[in-house]
Amino acid sequence: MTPFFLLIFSALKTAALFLTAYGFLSGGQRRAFAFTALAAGVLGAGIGLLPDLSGGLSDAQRDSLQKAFFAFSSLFLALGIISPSKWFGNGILRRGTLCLLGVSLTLFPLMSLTYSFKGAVVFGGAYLGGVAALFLIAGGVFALWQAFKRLNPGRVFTPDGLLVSLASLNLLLPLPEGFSHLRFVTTAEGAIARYLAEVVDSAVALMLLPEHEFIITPAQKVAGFLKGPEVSLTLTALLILLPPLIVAMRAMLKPEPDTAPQGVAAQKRKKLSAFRADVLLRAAPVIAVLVLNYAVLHTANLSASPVYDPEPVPLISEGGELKIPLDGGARPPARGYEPPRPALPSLKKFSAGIGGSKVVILVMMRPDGEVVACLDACEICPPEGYGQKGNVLICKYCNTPIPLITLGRPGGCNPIPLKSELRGDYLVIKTDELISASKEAGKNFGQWH
Amino acid sequence: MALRLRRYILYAGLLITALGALLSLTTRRTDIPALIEGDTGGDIGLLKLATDMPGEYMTFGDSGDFKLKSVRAEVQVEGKPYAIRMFPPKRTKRGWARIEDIGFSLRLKLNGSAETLALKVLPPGREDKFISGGKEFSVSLEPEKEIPKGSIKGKVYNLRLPLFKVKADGKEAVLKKGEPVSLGKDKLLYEGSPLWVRVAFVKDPGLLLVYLGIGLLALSPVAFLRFK
Repeated sequence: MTPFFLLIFSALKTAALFLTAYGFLSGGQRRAFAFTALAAGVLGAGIGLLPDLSGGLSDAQRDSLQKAFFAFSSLFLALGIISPSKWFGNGILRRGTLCLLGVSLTLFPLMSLTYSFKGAVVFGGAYLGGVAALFLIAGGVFALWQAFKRLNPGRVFTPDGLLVSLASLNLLLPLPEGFSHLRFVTTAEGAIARYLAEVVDSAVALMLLPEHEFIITPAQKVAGFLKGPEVSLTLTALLILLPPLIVAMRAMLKPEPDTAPQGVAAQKRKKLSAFRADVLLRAAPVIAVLVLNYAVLHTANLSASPVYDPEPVPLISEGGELKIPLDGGARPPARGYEPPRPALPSLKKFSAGIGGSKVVILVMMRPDGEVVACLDACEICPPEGYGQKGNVLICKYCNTPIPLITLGRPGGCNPIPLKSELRGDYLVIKTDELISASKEAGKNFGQWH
Repeated sequence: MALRLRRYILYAGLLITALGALLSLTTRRTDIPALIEGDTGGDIGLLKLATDMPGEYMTFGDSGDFKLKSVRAEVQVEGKPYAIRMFPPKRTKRGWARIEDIGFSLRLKLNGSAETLALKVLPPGREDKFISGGKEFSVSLEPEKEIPKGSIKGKVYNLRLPLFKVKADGKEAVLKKGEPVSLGKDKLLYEGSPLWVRVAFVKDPGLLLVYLGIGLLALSPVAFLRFK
């Protein structure tokens, strides 16, 4: 996304969230919220324009901003599930909550907006783009204002649904250029992982549990698991998905109204129908947010650990043999991005033309040092091939992880092994062997292309 | 009553763990001596050491997977023998004891004077340093043989009777047991390589409370489900 597109998107997102909350509230609540939000917005914009930030944010500044932004927004995720109605109405506590909501929605977003705008226009020299972006933002905000005047957010949001939806959208949607590195999922996962590591290390020291580089005990395996990425990712997923899930369930499991006083059956049905429509309407935005959160979580997880899938290097058969160089030759993946290569041993792929079809061979060194060659297909799945994710191969069709030590063994979702011979720095496969193996594989799923 | 009980288990677990942790943090004292196999002269001695260390260990390229699953030391503390492992810690006359680390020592005659060095050269491939006569020496395990496999070399280390490579002043020599070698002007004689262990002796009055508290906390979900 271009910087200006992100900038406009971020500005309109902030305006839409502000107008949603503004439209939901009324009277004194609305005034308290609007005043705080506007004051925080002006303050944020002022901070974004400070000359101190013109040379770029330092690591410490970025870290502090990140923590403050995420802390504020996370607070509303928590408040949303603690109580549906306690935080709205009158009273100091309730006004305080609304003030915090206003600060959360405008302080950091406006700071990042003005900072990015200044960077693109003043330092980047894109004056025309800046003016156009300002016009588009102004027009967009006006259109949103007109649209929100006709909408009634109170019709579709419950108080807790509003808090959770605003907090999620504020947290998870992308920020302008210059702040786009601030991703809630990866930051939260990192923070949880660090916190878990500290807690587990303290418990290990306190309980005199063993911790050694090469003497591995069950207690150490448990401690290692608790500090591992699986646990921190699970906790991050719970942090992001539980609040909207709880709020959606709360909205949908609301008890049906008592229809006994209505004597006529048609009136009872009408009342129940209106109730059910209302429940669905109020649960819909939170369910949408739940789906969005899941998508953001999935995307972040995928980008954090991409599957390494090298482009096959073409081979030409010589004298009925294919000679595969063991010193590599694998090309980088041609997908527009460069995922990090896994630590050795890494997957290598080669291709050969057999009877007008392309057959892909994967070659890998097992952890025991044995170099094995297999077809890039298994006996049971359509031949979509394999990619490497850390210390396992992943079948791209069924996502089954294949431990590297089992390479060369036939059966199941393991890649079909090929007989090969190590000759100097080459692994040699007879073309006949490749033809018979690919014919065997093609029995289930037809010829390869 | 059942509801109260399950609450009490959780609260008691939290309280006891917190008390134990506080006591541990304020009063724990730790002593970690290195003990060499067969050395039983002082108050603490290592009578016997049993490990699942392989006789031979092989690495390929830069990769290796050196792991031990069990280390058991028979340690004599003030005349009384104790069997000590990595976990759980054993109560001895000097406090709670558990194995902290293991490695090869090197009994060496360097220019005529005998030295016993507790080296950290495990996993094979790691280098350790020692200083003698103002000179720094680097020591690492040396593979007994190398097996070429394609473009990669496999290294085989003999861990029953290890070979050591010593480097100093840009020169290097391989030490074989009983064979004197010269390293520049220095004369070295490798006399043996018994294993050493570092045993942590921990005096901690809060440790039992911590175990009890953690046990109660672990029990509380069971109690919650049982008495629901």
